[in-house]
Amino acid sequence: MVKFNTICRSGQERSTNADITKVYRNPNPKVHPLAHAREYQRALVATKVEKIYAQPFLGALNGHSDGVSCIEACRFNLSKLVSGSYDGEIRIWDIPSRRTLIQLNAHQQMVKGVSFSRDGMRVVSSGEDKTINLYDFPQLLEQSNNTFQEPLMRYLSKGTLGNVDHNYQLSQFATAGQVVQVWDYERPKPIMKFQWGVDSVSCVKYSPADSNLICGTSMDRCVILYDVRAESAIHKVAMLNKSQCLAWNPIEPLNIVIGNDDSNCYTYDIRKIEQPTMIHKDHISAVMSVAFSSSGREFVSGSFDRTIRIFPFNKGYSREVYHGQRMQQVNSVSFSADAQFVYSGSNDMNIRIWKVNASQKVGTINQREANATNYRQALKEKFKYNPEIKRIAKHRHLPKYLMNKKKQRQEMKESKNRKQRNAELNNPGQYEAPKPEKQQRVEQFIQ
Amino acid sequence: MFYKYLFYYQFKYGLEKQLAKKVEKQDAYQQVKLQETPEDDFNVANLIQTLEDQGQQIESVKTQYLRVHEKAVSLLNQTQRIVQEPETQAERDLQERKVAATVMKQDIKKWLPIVKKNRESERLDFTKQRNVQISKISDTSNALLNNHLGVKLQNAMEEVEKVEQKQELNGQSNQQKSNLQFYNDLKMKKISSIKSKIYKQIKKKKGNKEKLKLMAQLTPAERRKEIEKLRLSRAKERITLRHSTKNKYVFQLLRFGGDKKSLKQQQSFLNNLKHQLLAKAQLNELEDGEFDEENFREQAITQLEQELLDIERREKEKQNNFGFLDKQKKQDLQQSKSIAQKLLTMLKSGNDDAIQLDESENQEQNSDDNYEPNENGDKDKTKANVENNEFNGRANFVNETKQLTEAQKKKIDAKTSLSNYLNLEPEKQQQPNKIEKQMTVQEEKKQLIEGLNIKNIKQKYEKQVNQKLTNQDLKKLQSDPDELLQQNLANFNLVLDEDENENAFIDEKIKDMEEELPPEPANTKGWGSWAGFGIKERTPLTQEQILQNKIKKIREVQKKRQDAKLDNVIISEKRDNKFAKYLVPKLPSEFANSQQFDQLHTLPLGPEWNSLTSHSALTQPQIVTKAGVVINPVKIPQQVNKLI
Repeated sequence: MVKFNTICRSGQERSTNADITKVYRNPNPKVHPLAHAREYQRALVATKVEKIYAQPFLGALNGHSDGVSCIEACRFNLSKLVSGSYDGEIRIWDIPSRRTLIQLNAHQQMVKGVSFSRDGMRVVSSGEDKTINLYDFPQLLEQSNNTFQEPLMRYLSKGTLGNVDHNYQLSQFATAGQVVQVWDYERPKPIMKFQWGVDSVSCVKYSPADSNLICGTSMDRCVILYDVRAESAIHKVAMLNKSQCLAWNPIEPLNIVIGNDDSNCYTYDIRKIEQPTMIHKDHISAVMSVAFSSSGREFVSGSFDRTIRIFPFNKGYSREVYHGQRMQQVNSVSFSADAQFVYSGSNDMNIRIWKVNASQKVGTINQREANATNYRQALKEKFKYNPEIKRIAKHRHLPKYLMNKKKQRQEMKESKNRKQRNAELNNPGQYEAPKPEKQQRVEQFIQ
Repeated sequence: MFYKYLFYYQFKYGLEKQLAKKVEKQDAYQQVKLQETPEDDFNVANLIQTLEDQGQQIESVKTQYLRVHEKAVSLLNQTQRIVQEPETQAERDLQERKVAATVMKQDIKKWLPIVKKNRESERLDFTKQRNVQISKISDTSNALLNNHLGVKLQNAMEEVEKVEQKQELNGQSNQQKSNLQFYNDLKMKKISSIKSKIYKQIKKKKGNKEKLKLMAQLTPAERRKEIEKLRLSRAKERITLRHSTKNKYVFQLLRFGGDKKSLKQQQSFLNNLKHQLLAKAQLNELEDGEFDEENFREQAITQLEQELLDIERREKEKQNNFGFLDKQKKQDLQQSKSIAQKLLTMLKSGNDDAIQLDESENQEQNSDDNYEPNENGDKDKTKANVENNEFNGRANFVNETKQLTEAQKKKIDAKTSLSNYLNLEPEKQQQPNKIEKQMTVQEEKKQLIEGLNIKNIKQKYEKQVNQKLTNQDLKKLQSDPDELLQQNLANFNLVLDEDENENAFIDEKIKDMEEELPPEPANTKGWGSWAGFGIKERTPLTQEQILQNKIKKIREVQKKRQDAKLDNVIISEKRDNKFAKYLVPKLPSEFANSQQFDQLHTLPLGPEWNSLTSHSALTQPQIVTKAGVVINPVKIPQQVNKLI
């Protein structure tokens, strides 16, 4: 038998565009009693489909011969990434081709920090060997085969160094360490030094919007704010655990996020640094690195528990968790400048590229596709409180060791609460009402 | 001494110098900043430049610093008198930090409007490279007010703001209206959800009174129309009622053609005739007098003729809107007509045998009419059955003992034939035991529903209906049957209801309760059939015991039910969970109340229910980013920066 496919048309064929009869629809909700049910079903399908197509891992950049200690994506050029490792090697990567552009044996010891200038022309690195190297990017590209290139400038620090962060507007950069130092391109010695307290500072970051403000986290469990104009620190707050890393919100330059060793991230408002405005929980081990998306609406954190989590800037729990079988402790994370990708450098010598939205299609998207995804997202947003949809959207697969640890933590927390409750019940009047958690985490505010 | 003084002097002016240095630095930075920051394509920028050309000075950070400086100096002057020695390094550092903190806090305020705007805006589009939300002109400067153009612009902006405010107000009034509407709806809902019987009775009484008042004002023809309407609506309601299962009611309607009352009257009239015949026969028998046959016949004939006329009149009456009802009515009328005509012909011809035959025919017909598909039988009917048996027995006894004359024989024949009419079918008499057993169950069931209101009311009206009607009453009824209907309108349905409907309702209620019973454990093989020494044999439960157990359980269930004391109602307590998946079990913390939540979530987003433009507007994401577009950190617009 032969099959025929036919197209049926009505008897009246239209000859001009004016012949089109408009179909009027009645928007009265009484006429559409099943709208809600249909949209619910669509939302359900959208959440399921999103889970099915979630493939966040895009690829790995391998080449380092030791664990990656620090990475930073270029703020100007989307395809460039600089990374430093524990053996003192610095590599600059071309992300689309996933290969090393420049390989440098920059430091004698571990590379503590790397940073691009805003225009992407300069690269600064600091090492444990108390040296800071300033490279010229075009010059580096010219002699890309030479691994022993001399830097444009080499600065020597008296004390040990922490990370380095380039100013967003000026030709200056700041280094952490025993003393917080601000350096200028043209001066061999630091133009400014900040020392307050005894212990060294592990991480400093410039405010992306305000070139005068520097925030740092110190080994004596403090978060300190410096003003370059005033040549002094402003104030600091001591927490219960030390913090390893911090990031400024680029869109709201009042807020910073710090990654703490108690496995939480804290959002602080620098105007009222007495207590955090929000605690972001989910990690199991110490948070090693945080980075803000350039949209300022979410940030990524890498942790010692071998996972990366993406948090909304105003939510207490993470939106997404990424992990891999071979991925070890994450030392450093970075957001791409267009807020589409996340890079993570870990102890297993690899740099990994992840999508920010796990199920988003990479590549060109036509208008119809974009509209459809928008509709799906809107539906998901609309029905996000629905128990079934919430359950599906929330579910993430975690490795066994994480699940066990999570369970254990939950049990510990519950037993602690139980103990507290029982103590209060048995000794009425002896206990005061417990402080809110945000206050509990802060030990002291020092002006 | 000199050294000490020098030290103090150095300290005093050292701090001042430091502050001065800072001011200089700040100035230098400002200049650098101005040079570096690229120009934004902001319309007001040119305007502000022109304004500045006119030589207007605006407050800057410099003044802030100067103010702080003055304060510090004054503080120093105050302390100078008390403290003669210089402060320690730590104290000086603290002072410095405090100053720095105040300056920082002042400085950082410039971000607040931008942050606020970003947070409040519905959409943040980072793809256009204009992530800086420009604040209002009125916020940025008062200096504009000195310029004509500036004033014009300011006024224009204010007008725009006013219009916006007006729109907001309109929105508010609309909201108020909708709130009122909502409140009213809630109120009505509350009223409708009142379950109190007394309240409803009062309400009903009020309504009935008003209706009667209205009825009194109408002319009889209009009244009849109204009653017709009422009857129709009631019939419709009855069909849709839950407890009157559609099948049975419709079945009944089909049988009696809706206008059952008049039919009942006819039947009762015929019965009355027969009873009169019987009574006269008995009287004649007792008196031993001659039976005045001709007189009796004449009377019967006249009454039958009247009846026929009445039937014809009824046939000519207006028909109901229900086709099937009309048909049935016609059929019933024809039946009664044929009966009456046969009786007439028989009476006129004077053939007694024919009467006998005819009566037996009628009996068959009537036995068909007494529809009773269940073998259970009715309580009342069985009682009647027993009475009839007694009656029959007495008749037989009379037959045996008395030697009768031929005329007497004739009379007795007529009597027995009539009494046969009232007998039940012999089949039912053959199985009395079975019926009795089922009877007990039925009674038990009835006892479950204790103190039925229906029963009491029904008994009342049954009495009324069964009262022997005098000829005057009958005439009255024939003349205006609707009048009586109007009187008993409220109880119309009760009169209509027969035991069967009631039983069906009770059965349904019991069935509902039975469904609530916990499921019996399934019999596993070998369970309970133990073998061995000392084990007593258990006799299995009889059917009756099982039934009684079940009834006990049902009674327990009944106590827990809401409708335990409501006899005429079945309240279904089952919840339909099908819709639950579309609902949210708990109000999310983001919302203040459920109305707010509902309002946000009732609007469909799809293209099927919206125009394409509104669909795309509704589904736009909150944050728009695009691969390849670098998002820069937030920046204060140049013109605002200059003003600062």
